[in-house]
Amino acid sequence: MDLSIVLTFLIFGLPLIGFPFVIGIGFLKKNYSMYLGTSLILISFLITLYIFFSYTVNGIVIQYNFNWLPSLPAIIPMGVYADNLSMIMSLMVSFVGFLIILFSVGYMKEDPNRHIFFGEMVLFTSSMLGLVLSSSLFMLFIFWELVGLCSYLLIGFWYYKPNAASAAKKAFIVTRVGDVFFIAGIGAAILYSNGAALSISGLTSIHLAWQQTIVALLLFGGAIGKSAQFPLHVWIPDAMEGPTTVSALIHAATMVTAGVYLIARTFVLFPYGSIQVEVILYIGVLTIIMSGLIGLVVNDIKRILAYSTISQIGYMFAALGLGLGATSIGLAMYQLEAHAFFKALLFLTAGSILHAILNVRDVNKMGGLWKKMPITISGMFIGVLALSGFPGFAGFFSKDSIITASHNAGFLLAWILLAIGGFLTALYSFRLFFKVALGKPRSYAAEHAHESKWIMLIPVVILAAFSVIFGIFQRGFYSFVETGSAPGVFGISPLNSMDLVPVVLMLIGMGIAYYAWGRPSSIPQKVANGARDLYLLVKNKFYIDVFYTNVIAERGVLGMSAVTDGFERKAIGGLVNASGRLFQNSGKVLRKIQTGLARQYALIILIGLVLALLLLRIFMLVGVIH
Amino acid sequence: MITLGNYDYLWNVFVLFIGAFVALFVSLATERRSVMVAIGAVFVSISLIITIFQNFSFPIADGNILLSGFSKLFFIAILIPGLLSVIGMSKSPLSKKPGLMIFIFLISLGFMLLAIASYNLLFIFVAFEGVSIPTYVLAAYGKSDNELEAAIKYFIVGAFSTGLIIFGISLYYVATGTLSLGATPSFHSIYYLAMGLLVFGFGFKLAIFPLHGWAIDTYTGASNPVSSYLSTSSKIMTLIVLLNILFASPLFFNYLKILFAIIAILTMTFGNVVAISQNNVKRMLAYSSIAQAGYLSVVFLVAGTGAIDLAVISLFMYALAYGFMKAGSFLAMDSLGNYDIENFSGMWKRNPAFAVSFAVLLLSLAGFPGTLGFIGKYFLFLSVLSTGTPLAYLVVIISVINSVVSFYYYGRVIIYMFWREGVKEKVANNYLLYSSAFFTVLFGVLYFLVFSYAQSIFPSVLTHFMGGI
Repeated sequence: MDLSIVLTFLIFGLPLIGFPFVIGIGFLKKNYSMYLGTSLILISFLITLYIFFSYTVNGIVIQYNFNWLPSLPAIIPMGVYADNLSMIMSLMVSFVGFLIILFSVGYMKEDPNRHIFFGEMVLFTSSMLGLVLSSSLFMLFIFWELVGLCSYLLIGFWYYKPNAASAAKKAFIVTRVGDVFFIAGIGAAILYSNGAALSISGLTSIHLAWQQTIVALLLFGGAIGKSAQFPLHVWIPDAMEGPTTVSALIHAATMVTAGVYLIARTFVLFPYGSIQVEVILYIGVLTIIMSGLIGLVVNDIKRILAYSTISQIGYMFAALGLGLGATSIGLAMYQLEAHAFFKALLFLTAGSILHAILNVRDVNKMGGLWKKMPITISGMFIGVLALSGFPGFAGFFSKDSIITASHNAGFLLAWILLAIGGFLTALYSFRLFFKVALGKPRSYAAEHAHESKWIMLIPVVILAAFSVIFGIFQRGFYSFVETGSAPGVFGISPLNSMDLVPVVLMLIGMGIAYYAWGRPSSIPQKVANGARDLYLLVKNKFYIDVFYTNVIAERGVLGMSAVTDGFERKAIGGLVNASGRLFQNSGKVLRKIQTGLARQYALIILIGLVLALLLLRIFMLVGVIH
Repeated sequence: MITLGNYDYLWNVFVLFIGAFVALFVSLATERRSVMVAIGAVFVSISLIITIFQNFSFPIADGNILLSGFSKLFFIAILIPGLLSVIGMSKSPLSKKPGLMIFIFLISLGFMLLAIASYNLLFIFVAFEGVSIPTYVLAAYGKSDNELEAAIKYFIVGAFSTGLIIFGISLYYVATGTLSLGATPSFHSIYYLAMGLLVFGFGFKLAIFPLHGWAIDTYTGASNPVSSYLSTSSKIMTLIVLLNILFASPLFFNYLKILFAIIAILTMTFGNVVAISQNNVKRMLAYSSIAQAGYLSVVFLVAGTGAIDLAVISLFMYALAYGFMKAGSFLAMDSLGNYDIENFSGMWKRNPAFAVSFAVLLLSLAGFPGTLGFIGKYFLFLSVLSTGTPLAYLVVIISVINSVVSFYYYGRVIIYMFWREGVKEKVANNYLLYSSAFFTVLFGVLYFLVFSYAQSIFPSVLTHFMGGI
């Protein structure tokens, strides 16, 4: 095997092999596992960097497959596929993963179970990298499930808190719904491509449009679950019960964007103008508007960020839903990477704040923190500017390009809604910022806040820097990602007057936010009272959670499970117990022939021999079956 | 370097014999057990290294010994548990004469390698006895009542079987006019009689039903390294000897297959069912070796079909797994004074590494995915299934049901180790157990490497059994 292939395997293989050691070494001394975990991810990142600059940039695609089950006639490939798309993604994952795990060294310093935390973080990062670099849908699915498992484990890391435990279960169950679609999609893909689609590159051999639609929609079902799009978005806000670094890594930067990556990876199934791209576009747009509205009324700092994540991922799907081939992939991936930086930044600053004010998460109890924690809150300011798309920051280049592209491609309705989404983004992000940073401290904890340690500030500063400068990579990024993908349908057109619409809307949103929340004001209260019905609808998250819990879970699933439970207990359980008793009793009888007398053993042998020889003789005489 | 003509290729055997005499001479100067065990371990390792790096492709002794990739694979499968067992002798409370013990051990191991490479019944018989007689002595080592009883039973049944083998060989000569394997018989009924006798004579070491009686008492009574050795290396050797005899037989394909199907089913069912009612873990392991012998015997069903290549590679993987699992678990008993299942309770608190490793081995024995035990079983059953006969389906289905049943008694020990409180006494670390568990999982996950290694050594099996290379 070539060195590059070995190295590519090591990108995710090293932390995968290393994670038991991270946990194990923690039994000696807990801090060792922090250092080991951090260095494993750092090495992974360095290898990625090396591969990226010495192979990917030079246009070399690293590809290697081995046969997973050599005994079967069909070849099930397992291996790596490192092209531009997957390398740019794994570069981001390992880099952001490293920064966040570095931040965790400070953040989790006092937790008694931190060795397990770091072990799980390392396992997560390796599975995410494995997912990105997989060459086959099967392998991708395995890692897809592994990141889901890690997400479950890490959300429930503080399992003694009832909220965290139930949030972990909710995340697991809701994403499972998506996974069912995903695995059905894999099955359909294999079926329609006569087995070729076991490897991702084999997806091109699905030719008929209706077959493409079925496979594409099923895969998109999986993506919806993982990437928390309507209607399976309900788990992310609850997932905020986990440690904030987990939210930053898994529920903002990496895992939730796996769905976007999956669609980008399988984009041959999403040709321009097909049903599937329309579905993606409008699911994305719907998600943006819905979660933007909810983000306006939530008070928990992390949940605001969670709804913002849902809405930003909506933009990525909207970009893919334009169906512009490689252009779409470029737009979506650029938004993905920019979002990873500024959302990780926002989560880390939020974590830093929570660390300082004793985990009070209600934004109404914060205020005036800019003076107490200048670096953290400046970082948050940059993050908010980037998120809302202030000109010059990362979000401006990524998000506004998507909005503009939708206009250029002629999706008028989508364009309007996406622009309104941008307005909502500015509104909720500055509401968050103003409530946290300005005014007077509104609680005892906020009055006594203090700046965090340097090890937590370094990642914040680095991510802030990336949120500012990432925009300069835009053109290069597009052409880099588009190399090797299907050619784009439309290029990015030069600036025209309509491009200013999102910027203007964003500035208006910013102004309104200041007017309403940047200073003492009763306007929000008045608006809420004025449109009482709408407010309640949004405040209750459009009753989607209630619908799932009360109708689907309690009426449908519980009833069904009562029936199957009865069947399982009575019929299957009875059968199992009966066969268990049968074996146990016959064991008691049969052990009696083990008398311990050697002469009896010889006798048994002799009887057996005679019987066997008789049997052979009979076979020869009768000439039975062959 | 002394050259012995074609016998050069047998250096891995000679090294063991040389080691035996080195041990004997050194024991004149010192009787320290650690030194003796070190000598044994070093020579077994050298033999293993020679085996791995040597290219075997020569018939020697006028074609009566065949060295091929097939032999090489199973040399490895025999030497690895042999190495584990000899290292295990450093711990076990064995007698005061370790020099003699290592001498006997290495002699028997050398003959094992010769036995599986032989292609002539007389050669096989001599090598087989060269294994049997030293192992009778090994089983008696320790000289307590338990060990003596174990050895005597082993010896009596062994002597009885030797009679059957000799009788079988003479009838074979009558039927075919030669002692070489793979000969075409002139008298079919005598030939079948001879084959039946040979199966029963050799099969006693494999401990298949109804030849299992001695095995339970001997595995339970003998000291742990000896039990480990008898139930791994010795068993794998016997299996390969039988495989050589029967696969080479041109008339094997029909009737003997049905006989073997019946024997395999009876063996695994008997072993599993009785293991359920055991409370002594070592005795449970003894019964589980019977059951495992049943799974291993399934391989005879592929004789004469296209599945034979895959079957032999799978058998190698299963034999490797079996060596690690059984040697590791028998040697683990050395850390405990009392093998009652109650004595395993609270193991997770007493020594977590022991509990986890032992649980891994038990799961592997039961055939839990992710371990080499599962992989071995999976490929073996798959190769049998690919012959496509109703008989194969029947046997595989019963084997799978048996695997499910076996989860009961393996799982019971795991439950005691992790979820029962009780004994508080500390348990010593057992690195042989840990390394066996480690390799079981490592090869279980990276099984495709083992698979392609076996494939690269041995692309085609059929020629070997035709008497070629």
